[in-house]
Amino acid sequence: MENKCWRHGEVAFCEIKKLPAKLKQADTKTIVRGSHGNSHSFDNGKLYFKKDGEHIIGYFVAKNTTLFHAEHGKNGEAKLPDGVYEMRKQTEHTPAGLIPVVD
Amino acid sequence: MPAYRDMWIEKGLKTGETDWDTFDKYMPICYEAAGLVYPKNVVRVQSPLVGGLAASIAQAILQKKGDAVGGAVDDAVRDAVRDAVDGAVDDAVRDAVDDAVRDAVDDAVGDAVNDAVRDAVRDAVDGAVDDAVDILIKTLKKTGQVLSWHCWLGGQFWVGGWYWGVAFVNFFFDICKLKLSKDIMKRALAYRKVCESVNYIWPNRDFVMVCARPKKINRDDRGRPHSETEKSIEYPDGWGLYHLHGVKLEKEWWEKIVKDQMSPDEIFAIDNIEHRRIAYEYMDKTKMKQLKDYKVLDEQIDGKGNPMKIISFTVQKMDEPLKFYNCICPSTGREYFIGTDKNNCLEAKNASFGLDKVEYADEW
Repeated sequence: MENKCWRHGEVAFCEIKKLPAKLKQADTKTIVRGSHGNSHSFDNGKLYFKKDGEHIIGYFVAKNTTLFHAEHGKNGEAKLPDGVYEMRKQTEHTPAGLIPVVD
Repeated sequence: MPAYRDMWIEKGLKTGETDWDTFDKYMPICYEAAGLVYPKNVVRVQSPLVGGLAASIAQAILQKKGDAVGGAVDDAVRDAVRDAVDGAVDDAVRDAVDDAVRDAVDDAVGDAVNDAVRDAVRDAVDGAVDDAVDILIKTLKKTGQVLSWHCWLGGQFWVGGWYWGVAFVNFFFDICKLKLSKDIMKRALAYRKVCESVNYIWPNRDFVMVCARPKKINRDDRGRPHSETEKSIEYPDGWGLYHLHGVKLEKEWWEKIVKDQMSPDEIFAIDNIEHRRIAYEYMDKTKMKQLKDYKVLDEQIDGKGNPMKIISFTVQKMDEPLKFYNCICPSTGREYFIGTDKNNCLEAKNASFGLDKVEYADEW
Protein backbone atom coordinates (compact mmCIF):
# COMPACT_ATOMS: atom_id res chain seq x y z
CA MET A 1 0.00 0.00 0.00
CA GLU A 2 1.28 3.44 -0.90
CA ASN A 3 1.69 5.91 1.93
CA LYS A 4 0.99 9.59 1.32
CA CYS A 5 3.58 11.67 3.12
CA TRP A 6 4.68 15.27 3.52
CA ARG A 7 8.41 15.43 4.19
CA HIS A 8 9.80 18.17 6.43
CA GLY A 9 13.54 17.48 6.34
CA GLU A 10 14.23 14.32 8.28
CA VAL A 11 10.63 14.13 9.57
CA ALA A 12 7.82 12.71 7.39
CA PHE A 13 4.14 13.27 8.16
CA CYS A 14 2.30 10.27 6.73
CA GLU A 15 -1.49 10.23 6.50
CA ILE A 16 -3.38 7.74 8.65
CA LYS A 17 -7.12 7.24 9.14
CA LYS A 18 -7.26 7.77 12.89
CA LEU A 19 -5.08 8.22 15.94
CA PRO A 20 -4.09 5.17 17.99
CA ALA A 21 -5.83 4.89 21.35
CA LYS A 22 -4.53 6.23 24.67
CA LEU A 23 -2.33 9.02 23.39
CA LYS A 24 -1.46 11.98 25.57
CA GLN A 25 -1.20 15.38 23.93
CA ALA A 26 2.28 16.89 24.31
CA ASP A 27 2.65 20.25 26.00
CA THR A 28 5.23 21.58 23.56
CA LYS A 29 5.44 23.07 20.09
CA THR A 30 8.77 21.40 19.38
CA ILE A 31 8.57 18.16 17.43
CA VAL A 32 12.25 17.39 17.02
CA ARG A 33 15.22 19.36 18.25
CA GLY A 34 18.26 19.49 15.95
CA SER A 35 21.84 19.51 17.11
CA HIS A 36 22.51 22.99 15.75
CA GLY A 37 19.75 24.96 17.38
CA ASN A 38 17.28 24.41 14.53
CA SER A 39 14.13 22.65 15.67
CA HIS A 40 11.09 21.32 13.83
CA SER A 41 8.20 23.13 15.49
CA PHE A 42 4.62 24.07 14.61
CA ASP A 43 1.75 26.43 15.14
CA ASN A 44 -1.82 25.09 15.33
CA GLY A 45 -2.33 21.37 15.67
CA LYS A 46 -2.08 18.62 18.25
CA LEU A 47 1.15 16.73 18.89
CA TYR A 48 1.41 13.29 20.50
CA PHE A 49 4.71 11.58 21.22
CA LYS A 50 4.72 7.80 21.11
CA LYS A 51 7.59 5.76 19.75
CA ASP A 52 6.77 2.70 17.71
CA GLY A 53 9.61 0.76 16.15
CA GLU A 54 12.64 2.39 14.54
CA HIS A 55 10.84 5.19 12.70
CA ILE A 56 7.55 6.33 14.24
CA ILE A 57 8.15 9.05 16.82
CA GLY A 58 4.54 10.08 17.36
CA TYR A 59 1.33 11.38 15.85
CA PHE A 60 -0.04 14.73 14.75
CA VAL A 61 -3.45 16.19 14.07
CA ALA A 62 -3.12 19.16 11.73
CA LYS A 63 -5.66 21.94 11.53
CA ASN A 64 -4.50 25.13 9.87
CA THR A 65 -0.99 23.96 10.77
CA THR A 66 2.25 25.71 9.89
CA LEU A 67 5.50 23.83 10.35
CA PHE A 68 8.65 25.76 11.17
CA HIS A 69 12.32 25.03 10.65
CA ALA A 70 14.97 27.54 9.64
CA GLU A 71 16.19 25.32 6.78
CA HIS A 72 12.96 23.82 5.45
CA GLY A 73 10.17 25.56 3.55
CA LYS A 74 9.72 29.06 2.20
CA ASN A 75 11.20 31.46 4.74
CA GLY A 76 11.32 28.55 7.18
CA GLU A 77 7.56 27.90 7.00
CA ALA A 78 5.52 25.10 5.45
CA LYS A 79 1.74 24.53 5.47
CA LEU A 80 0.73 21.00 6.40
CA PRO A 81 -2.79 20.12 5.13
CA ASP A 82 -5.44 19.36 7.74
CA GLY A 83 -5.44 15.68 8.63
CA VAL A 84 -4.22 12.94 10.93
CA TYR A 85 -0.62 11.83 10.58
CA GLU A 86 1.96 9.52 12.01
CA MET A 87 5.36 11.19 12.26
CA ARG A 88 8.33 9.25 10.99
CA LYS A 89 11.94 10.16 11.69
CA GLN A 90 14.47 9.37 8.99
CA THR A 91 17.12 6.79 9.78
CA GLU A 92 20.25 5.74 8.04
CA HIS A 93 21.76 2.33 7.58
CA THR A 94 25.21 1.87 9.10
CA PRO A 95 27.41 -1.20 9.60
CA ALA A 96 26.28 -1.04 13.24
CA GLY A 97 22.58 -1.04 12.30
CA LEU A 98 19.90 1.61 11.80
CA ILE A 99 20.49 4.95 13.47
CA PRO A 100 18.32 8.09 13.46
CA VAL A 101 19.54 10.80 11.12
CA VAL A 102 21.28 13.36 13.29
CA ASP A 103 21.41 16.87 11.90
CA MET B 1 9.60 49.62 12.33
CA PRO B 2 12.57 48.19 10.33
CA ALA B 3 14.88 50.89 11.71
CA TYR B 4 13.76 50.14 15.26
CA ARG B 5 14.19 46.41 14.64
CA ASP B 6 17.69 46.92 13.25
CA MET B 7 18.66 49.07 16.21
CA TRP B 8 17.82 46.21 18.59
CA ILE B 9 19.53 43.60 16.44
CA GLU B 10 22.64 45.74 16.64
CA LYS B 11 22.34 45.95 20.42
CA GLY B 12 21.85 42.18 20.65
CA LEU B 13 24.95 41.46 18.62
CA LYS B 14 27.15 44.20 20.05
CA THR B 15 30.76 43.22 20.70
CA GLY B 16 33.69 44.93 22.38
CA GLU B 17 33.66 46.98 25.55
CA THR B 18 31.18 45.95 28.23
CA ASP B 19 29.22 48.75 29.84
CA TRP B 20 29.89 47.71 33.44
CA ASP B 21 28.92 51.12 34.86
CA THR B 22 25.41 50.95 33.43
CA PHE B 23 25.03 47.40 34.70
CA ASP B 24 26.22 48.40 38.18
CA LYS B 25 23.74 51.28 38.20
CA TYR B 26 20.64 49.41 37.04
CA MET B 27 21.02 45.85 38.32
CA PRO B 28 20.43 46.94 41.94
CA ILE B 29 17.18 48.57 40.78
CA CYS B 30 16.06 45.19 39.40
CA TYR B 31 16.77 43.56 42.76
CA GLU B 32 14.97 46.35 44.59
CA ALA B 33 11.95 45.96 42.31
CA ALA B 34 11.93 42.26 43.14
CA GLY B 35 12.06 43.05 46.86
CA LEU B 36 15.55 41.61 47.27
CA VAL B 37 18.69 42.97 48.87
CA TYR B 38 21.42 43.52 46.29
CA PRO B 39 24.36 41.22 47.08
CA LYS B 40 27.76 42.64 47.93
CA ASN B 41 29.49 40.18 45.65
CA VAL B 42 29.26 41.16 42.04
CA VAL B 43 31.60 38.95 40.07
CA ARG B 44 32.59 39.80 36.54
CA VAL B 45 33.53 36.87 34.31
CA GLN B 46 34.98 36.90 30.84
CA SER B 47 32.99 34.11 29.20
CA PRO B 48 29.64 32.36 29.65
CA LEU B 49 31.43 29.06 30.15
CA VAL B 50 33.19 30.37 33.23
CA GLY B 51 30.01 32.08 34.44
CA GLY B 52 27.82 29.04 33.86
CA LEU B 53 30.16 26.77 35.73
CA ALA B 54 31.13 29.14 38.49
CA ALA B 55 27.64 30.46 39.24
CA SER B 56 26.11 27.02 39.49
CA ILE B 57 28.96 25.69 41.61
CA ALA B 58 28.85 28.72 43.88
CA GLN B 59 25.12 28.33 44.27
CA ALA B 60 25.48 24.64 45.10
CA ILE B 61 28.04 25.45 47.76
CA LEU B 62 26.01 28.29 49.23
CA GLN B 63 22.88 26.19 49.42
CA LYS B 64 24.68 23.79 51.68
CA LYS B 65 26.26 26.60 53.69
CA GLY B 66 28.83 24.19 54.99
CA ASP B 67 32.56 24.21 54.55
CA ALA B 68 32.77 20.42 54.59
CA VAL B 69 30.29 19.92 51.78
CA GLY B 70 31.56 22.96 49.99
CA GLY B 71 35.06 21.61 50.23
CA ALA B 72 34.02 18.25 48.87
CA VAL B 73 32.22 19.86 45.96
CA ASP B 74 35.07 22.23 45.44
CA ASP B 75 37.57 19.38 45.19
CA ALA B 76 35.46 17.36 42.77
CA VAL B 77 34.72 20.35 40.62
CA ARG B 78 38.24 21.67 40.59
CA ASP B 79 39.47 18.39 39.15
CA ALA B 80 36.74 18.33 36.54
CA VAL B 81 37.18 21.84 35.23
CA ARG B 82 40.89 22.41 35.62
CA ASP B 83 41.77 21.30 32.11
CA ALA B 84 38.93 23.21 30.51
CA VAL B 85 39.10 26.62 32.06
CA ASP B 86 42.13 26.69 34.36
CA GLY B 87 41.67 28.90 37.39
CA ALA B 88 38.96 31.17 36.06
CA VAL B 89 36.08 29.16 37.49
CA ASP B 90 37.80 28.68 40.81
CA ASP B 91 38.49 32.38 41.13
CA ALA B 92 34.93 33.33 40.23
CA VAL B 93 33.47 30.79 42.63
CA ARG B 94 35.75 32.00 45.39
CA ASP B 95 34.81 35.63 44.76
CA ALA B 96 31.11 34.78 44.85
CA VAL B 97 31.14 32.32 47.69
CA ASP B 98 33.85 33.24 50.16
CA ASP B 99 32.57 36.67 51.09
CA ALA B 100 28.96 35.53 51.16
CA VAL B 101 29.71 32.60 53.42
CA ARG B 102 31.81 34.79 55.62
CA ASP B 103 29.19 37.49 55.88
CA ALA B 104 26.31 35.13 56.59
CA VAL B 105 25.99 33.28 53.73
CA ASP B 106 4.52 39.14 19.05
CA ASP B 107 5.48 40.87 18.00
CA ALA B 108 6.97 41.99 14.85
CA VAL B 109 9.89 43.75 16.42
CA GLY B 110 10.38 41.14 19.06
CA ASP B 111 10.28 38.25 16.61
CA ALA B 112 12.65 39.79 14.15
CA VAL B 113 15.22 40.65 16.79
CA ASN B 114 14.74 37.30 18.42
CA ASP B 115 15.41 35.44 15.17
CA ALA B 116 18.54 37.39 14.46
CA VAL B 117 20.04 37.25 17.91
CA ARG B 118 18.64 34.22 19.67
CA ASP B 119 18.48 31.61 16.96
CA ALA B 120 21.76 32.46 15.34
CA VAL B 121 24.02 33.18 18.26
CA ARG B 122 22.50 32.64 21.67
CA ASP B 123 21.48 29.04 21.01
CA ALA B 124 25.01 28.28 19.91
CA VAL B 125 26.47 29.62 23.14
CA ASP B 126 23.77 27.94 25.22
CA GLY B 127 24.56 24.60 23.66
CA ALA B 128 28.25 24.87 24.32
CA VAL B 129 27.80 25.81 27.97
CA ASP B 130 25.21 23.08 28.29
CA ASP B 131 27.71 20.48 27.04
CA ALA B 132 30.40 21.62 29.44
CA VAL B 133 28.08 21.72 32.41
CA ASP B 134 26.80 18.27 31.52
CA ILE B 135 30.26 16.86 32.27
CA LEU B 136 30.25 18.63 35.60
CA ILE B 137 26.80 17.40 36.51
CA LYS B 138 28.02 13.82 36.21
CA THR B 139 30.91 14.64 38.52
CA LEU B 140 28.73 16.44 41.01
CA LYS B 141 26.16 13.66 41.19
CA LYS B 142 28.73 11.72 43.15
CA THR B 143 28.53 14.35 45.87
CA GLY B 144 24.76 14.68 45.72
CA GLN B 145 24.91 18.24 44.37
CA VAL B 146 22.69 19.72 41.68
CA LEU B 147 23.86 22.39 39.27
CA SER B 148 21.49 25.07 38.11
CA TRP B 149 23.43 26.96 35.48
CA HIS B 150 20.20 27.76 33.67
CA CYS B 151 19.29 30.24 36.40
CA TRP B 152 20.49 33.06 34.21
CA LEU B 153 19.39 36.05 32.22
CA GLY B 154 20.64 36.45 28.66
CA GLY B 155 21.41 40.18 28.81
CA GLN B 156 22.07 41.44 25.29
CA PHE B 157 21.16 38.00 23.83
CA TRP B 158 17.67 38.26 25.31
CA VAL B 159 16.66 41.61 23.86
CA GLY B 160 14.61 39.76 21.26
CA GLY B 161 12.01 37.55 22.74
CA TRP B 162 11.13 35.29 25.61
CA TYR B 163 9.37 36.53 28.67
CA TRP B 164 9.72 40.28 28.74
CA GLY B 165 11.06 40.82 25.19
CA VAL B 166 12.92 44.09 25.67
CA ALA B 167 12.72 45.18 22.03
CA PHE B 168 9.01 44.34 21.84
CA VAL B 169 8.10 46.11 25.08
CA ASN B 170 10.18 49.18 24.37
CA PHE B 171 8.67 49.55 20.89
CA PHE B 172 5.47 50.60 22.63
CA PHE B 173 7.29 52.98 24.94
CA ASP B 174 9.67 54.51 22.37
CA ILE B 175 7.60 54.55 19.20
CA CYS B 176 3.99 54.36 20.34
CA LYS B 177 4.67 56.63 23.34
CA LEU B 178 2.87 54.31 25.72
CA LYS B 179 2.99 55.55 29.31
CA LEU B 180 2.38 53.18 32.19
CA SER B 181 2.71 53.77 35.93
CA LYS B 182 5.92 55.31 37.21
CA ASP B 183 6.84 52.07 38.96
CA ILE B 184 6.38 49.95 35.83
CA MET B 185 8.34 52.42 33.71
CA LYS B 186 11.17 52.36 36.25
CA ARG B 187 11.28 48.55 36.19
CA ALA B 188 11.18 48.41 32.40
CA LEU B 189 13.98 50.95 32.10
CA ALA B 190 16.17 49.10 34.61
CA TYR B 191 15.82 45.78 32.82
CA ARG B 192 16.37 47.42 29.44
CA LYS B 193 19.58 49.06 30.63
CA VAL B 194 20.85 45.81 32.11
CA CYS B 195 20.19 43.96 28.86
CA GLU B 196 21.82 46.70 26.82
CA SER B 197 24.96 46.73 28.91
CA VAL B 198 26.21 43.16 29.41
CA ASN B 199 26.03 39.57 28.21
CA TYR B 200 24.76 36.73 30.46
CA ILE B 201 23.85 37.37 34.11
CA TRP B 202 23.48 34.86 36.96
CA PRO B 203 21.50 36.73 39.63
CA ASN B 204 21.60 34.98 42.98
CA ARG B 205 20.57 35.86 46.52
CA ASP B 206 24.21 35.91 47.66
CA PHE B 207 26.04 37.04 44.54
CA VAL B 208 25.60 38.33 41.02
CA MET B 209 27.80 36.92 38.33
CA VAL B 210 27.89 38.81 35.06
CA CYS B 211 29.60 38.09 31.78
CA ALA B 212 31.46 40.49 29.50
CA ARG B 213 30.32 41.03 25.94
CA PRO B 214 31.81 38.83 23.22
CA LYS B 215 35.00 40.22 21.74
CA LYS B 216 33.78 39.30 18.28
CA ILE B 217 30.88 37.65 16.49
CA ASN B 218 31.41 36.51 12.91
CA ARG B 219 28.39 35.61 10.79
CA ASP B 220 27.66 34.64 7.19
CA ASP B 221 25.36 36.53 4.84
CA ARG B 222 22.34 34.75 6.37
CA GLY B 223 23.27 35.82 9.88
CA ARG B 224 24.48 32.41 11.05
CA PRO B 225 27.64 32.06 13.13
CA HIS B 226 30.43 31.44 10.63
CA SER B 227 34.11 31.93 10.03
CA GLU B 228 36.67 30.09 7.95
CA THR B 229 39.60 31.88 9.55
CA GLU B 230 38.88 32.18 13.28
CA LYS B 231 36.30 31.51 15.99
CA SER B 232 32.78 32.54 15.02
CA ILE B 233 32.17 33.83 18.57
CA GLU B 234 34.97 34.78 20.91
CA TYR B 235 34.87 36.10 24.45
CA PRO B 236 37.56 38.21 26.16
CA ASP B 237 39.15 35.22 27.92
CA GLY B 238 39.64 33.48 24.58
CA TRP B 239 36.85 30.96 24.99
CA GLY B 240 34.66 30.70 21.93
CA LEU B 241 33.07 28.54 19.29
CA TYR B 242 33.81 27.46 15.76
CA HIS B 243 31.04 27.42 13.17
CA LEU B 244 30.70 26.96 9.44
CA HIS B 245 27.41 28.42 8.18
CA GLY B 246 25.72 27.84 11.53
CA VAL B 247 27.07 24.32 12.05
CA LYS B 248 29.08 24.11 15.27
CA LEU B 249 32.29 22.12 15.10
CA GLU B 250 35.13 21.21 17.39
CA LYS B 251 38.24 23.25 16.56
CA GLU B 252 40.15 20.21 15.30
CA TRP B 253 37.40 19.30 12.84
CA TRP B 254 36.75 22.89 11.83
CA GLU B 255 40.43 23.28 10.98
CA LYS B 256 40.62 20.06 8.98
CA ILE B 257 37.46 20.96 7.05
CA VAL B 258 38.42 24.52 6.10
CA LYS B 259 41.89 23.33 5.09
CA ASP B 260 40.37 20.39 3.18
CA GLN B 261 42.55 17.95 5.09
CA MET B 262 39.93 15.21 5.43
CA SER B 263 39.87 12.16 3.20
CA PRO B 264 36.52 11.11 1.74
CA ASP B 265 36.55 7.96 3.92
CA GLU B 266 36.87 10.13 7.01
CA ILE B 267 34.06 12.38 5.84
CA PHE B 268 31.67 9.51 5.15
CA ALA B 269 32.44 8.08 8.59
CA ILE B 270 31.11 11.23 10.32
CA ASP B 271 27.94 10.29 12.20
CA ASN B 272 26.26 13.71 12.24
CA ILE B 273 24.87 14.31 8.73
CA GLU B 274 25.19 18.11 9.01
CA HIS B 275 28.88 17.71 9.86
CA ARG B 276 29.21 15.19 7.05
CA ARG B 277 27.48 17.57 4.66
CA ILE B 278 29.58 20.60 5.53
CA ALA B 279 32.81 18.56 5.38
CA TYR B 280 31.83 17.23 1.94
CA GLU B 281 30.92 20.75 0.82
CA TYR B 282 34.44 21.97 1.60
CA MET B 283 36.13 18.87 0.14
CA ASP B 284 37.77 18.96 -3.27
CA LYS B 285 35.36 16.65 -5.15
CA THR B 286 38.15 15.08 -7.22
CA LYS B 287 39.09 13.29 -3.98
CA MET B 288 36.07 11.01 -4.48
CA LYS B 289 38.26 9.06 -6.91
CA GLN B 290 40.42 8.09 -3.93
CA LEU B 291 37.60 5.91 -2.60
CA LYS B 292 38.30 2.24 -3.24
CA ASP B 293 35.86 0.56 -5.66
CA TYR B 294 33.86 3.80 -5.96
CA LYS B 295 30.72 3.19 -8.02
CA VAL B 296 27.46 4.96 -8.81
CA LEU B 297 24.81 2.22 -8.53
CA ASP B 298 21.73 4.25 -9.46
CA GLU B 299 20.78 7.73 -10.63
CA GLN B 300 17.28 9.21 -10.67
CA ILE B 301 15.51 12.57 -10.53
CA ASP B 302 13.32 13.17 -7.48
CA GLY B 303 9.84 14.72 -7.39
CA LYS B 304 11.34 18.19 -7.02
CA GLY B 305 13.57 17.81 -10.09
CA ASN B 306 16.77 17.24 -8.11
CA PRO B 307 19.25 14.45 -8.89
CA MET B 308 19.54 11.46 -6.58
CA LYS B 309 22.29 8.84 -6.58
CA ILE B 310 23.34 5.69 -4.80
CA ILE B 311 27.11 5.51 -4.44
CA SER B 312 29.16 2.67 -3.03
CA PHE B 313 32.79 2.20 -2.07
CA THR B 314 34.89 -0.12 0.02
CA VAL B 315 36.74 0.79 3.18
CA GLN B 316 39.56 -1.07 4.87
CA LYS B 317 38.73 -3.93 7.22
CA MET B 318 35.14 -4.21 5.96
CA ASP B 319 33.88 -7.01 3.75
CA GLU B 320 30.76 -5.29 2.45
CA PRO B 321 30.94 -2.01 0.51
CA LEU B 322 29.36 1.04 2.12
CA LYS B 323 26.44 2.58 0.27
CA PHE B 324 25.09 6.11 0.50
CA TYR B 325 21.90 7.65 -0.82
CA ASN B 326 22.94 11.04 -2.22
CA CYS B 327 20.14 13.63 -2.34
CA ILE B 328 19.49 17.36 -2.50
CA CYS B 329 17.42 19.23 0.10
CA PRO B 330 14.50 20.83 -1.83
CA SER B 331 14.55 23.93 0.41
CA THR B 332 18.26 24.73 0.70
CA GLY B 333 19.74 22.92 -2.29
CA ARG B 334 22.29 21.33 0.04
CA GLU B 335 23.72 17.94 -0.82
CA TYR B 336 23.40 15.11 1.72
CA PHE B 337 24.68 11.54 1.93
CA ILE B 338 22.58 9.12 3.97
CA GLY B 339 23.73 5.56 4.69
CA THR B 340 21.63 2.86 3.04
CA ASP B 341 21.60 -0.83 2.18
CA LYS B 342 19.56 -0.32 -0.99
CA ASN B 343 20.71 -0.14 -4.62
CA ASN B 344 17.84 2.03 -5.85
CA CYS B 345 17.39 5.72 -5.01
CA LEU B 346 13.64 5.65 -4.34
CA GLU B 347 13.85 2.45 -2.34
CA ALA B 348 16.64 3.99 -0.28
CA LYS B 349 14.64 7.16 0.34
CA ASN B 350 11.49 5.28 1.34
CA ALA B 351 13.40 2.79 3.49
CA SER B 352 15.01 5.65 5.38
CA PHE B 353 11.50 6.37 6.72
CA GLY B 354 10.76 2.66 7.22
CA LEU B 355 8.36 2.50 4.25
CA ASP B 356 8.17 0.52 1.00
CA LYS B 357 6.00 2.72 -1.18
CA VAL B 358 5.46 6.42 -0.68
CA GLU B 359 3.74 9.22 -2.52
CA TYR B 360 5.54 12.39 -1.44
CA ALA B 361 2.73 14.95 -1.64
CA ASP B 362 5.18 17.73 -0.86
CA GLU B 363 8.70 18.07 0.47
CA TRP B 364 10.43 20.94 2.20
